[in-house]
Amino acid sequence: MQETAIIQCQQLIPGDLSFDYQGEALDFEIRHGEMVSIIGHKHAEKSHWLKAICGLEDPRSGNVYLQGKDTLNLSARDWASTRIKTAYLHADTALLSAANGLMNVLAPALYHQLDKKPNKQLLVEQALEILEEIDAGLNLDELPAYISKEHQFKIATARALLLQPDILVLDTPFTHFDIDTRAHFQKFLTNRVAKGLSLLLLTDDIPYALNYSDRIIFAEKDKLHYFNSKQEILNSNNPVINQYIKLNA
Amino acid sequence: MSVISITNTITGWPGRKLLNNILYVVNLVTFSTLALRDWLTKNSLFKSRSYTTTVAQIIFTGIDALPTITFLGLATGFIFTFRLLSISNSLGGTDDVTNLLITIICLSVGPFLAAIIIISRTGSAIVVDIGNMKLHGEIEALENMGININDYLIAPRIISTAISQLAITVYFTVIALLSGILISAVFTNPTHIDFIFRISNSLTPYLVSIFVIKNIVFGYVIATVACYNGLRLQSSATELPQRTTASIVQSLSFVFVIDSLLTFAIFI
Repeated sequence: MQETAIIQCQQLIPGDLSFDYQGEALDFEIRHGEMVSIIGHKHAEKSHWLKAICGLEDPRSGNVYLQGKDTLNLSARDWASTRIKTAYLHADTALLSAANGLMNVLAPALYHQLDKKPNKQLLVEQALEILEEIDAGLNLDELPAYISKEHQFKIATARALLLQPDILVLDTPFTHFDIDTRAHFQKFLTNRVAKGLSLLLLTDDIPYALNYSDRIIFAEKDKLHYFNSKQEILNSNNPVINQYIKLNA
Repeated sequence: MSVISITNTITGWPGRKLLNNILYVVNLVTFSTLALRDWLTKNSLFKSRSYTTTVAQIIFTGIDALPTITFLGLATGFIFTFRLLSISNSLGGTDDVTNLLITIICLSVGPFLAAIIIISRTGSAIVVDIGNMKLHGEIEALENMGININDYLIAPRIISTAISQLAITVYFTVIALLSGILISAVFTNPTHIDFIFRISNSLTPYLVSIFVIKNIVFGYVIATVACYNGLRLQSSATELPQRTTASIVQSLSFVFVIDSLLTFAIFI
């Protein structure tokens, strides 16, 4: 029996696009251990596509299924469980300002009572393990106001991963990173994908997207293009795509 | 503008205002009911997922306010209790004075002053706290992780403010009565010390239940108004002081109205 797609979109057009999208609707699905990147021009409003894909924005048309459940008809309980399994982060995802770094990582897991089984100490150990893997130099005792944006994003990533999601949906995650730290974080993401985590990435880091993605979606203002490999997009005859890749690769 | 339209405008204004106020109360009741419903479906009082939030709010609202409450209690003891006792001979018998102390200190001044302190300290802090969380995207981030805001942020604040209002008023009332009676016993008449026992003997279950209900309602309303105003912030930081002021004014108005209605229901 084929496994259920983690995210499945049928004829999706986001509801919050600031322009009247006339192109084809999005048909898309992502399964365990896959990495899909969305790239393209800014005016395509890719963030709205990403949010609509993971059910955080109402569609203008079409349906989104998370773990096989239609996001338009979710009960409160299903909403909570699908949100845990579909972790969405953007570059400026906020941490709780009143809690230090470590408490920020633990708070959602404690709320969802992941500490009940097996126990809280193990949860703390798991959190520290993830944080160590992301960046051993994170200051976990400070409040977010005293932590750099890059470290805040890393803590937010650890917070999401502690909930053991099936997929990480990242909107321009490398915005606050410098070249060195970006490479380390990208390696961390790639390792996670290799271990079975799915990754849906909206990024301007074209080399990373091309080299590691299983599939790539190129978004133009009025059209979406689908590619199954780096070679396929590099061989594209579309001048807009060629020029974009040339400028950003 | 015709005479009829001017008349409609003049008569329409209070009507619209009244309707808006009624709708606002309906919104508040719905808001707090939903918050408590979400909390009750997931928690029990002492085995709560939001236990930390509840305890932190009780500490801030109740324990951190103790110095202020102590000072106000002593001042009230001197201004009201001591003054009433010092003129007790002209007020009638000891039973009348005892009833007067219970009515004024326990059922009126105590809850009212405690409510004003909670409005100014806790109410404003809740609006700023929740408002900032909304402005900075913290609430959105929590919701995106499947956290129910009603259960995690709102209900714990409502419950803990109601509990704290009751606890603070008990403490305030005891201080106000004891200090006034002791001052009076020391400086005017040693037999006034008997009022401690007279008051405790005169507190019927009926009066105690009025005291408890009044304080819980005050705390509940103050926290609800504050949370509601905090969540009404849209995207501009300039709204924060406006919402804080609105919350304080609305809470004060509600406390006045509820106090009047309860007084009317109990004593008339």
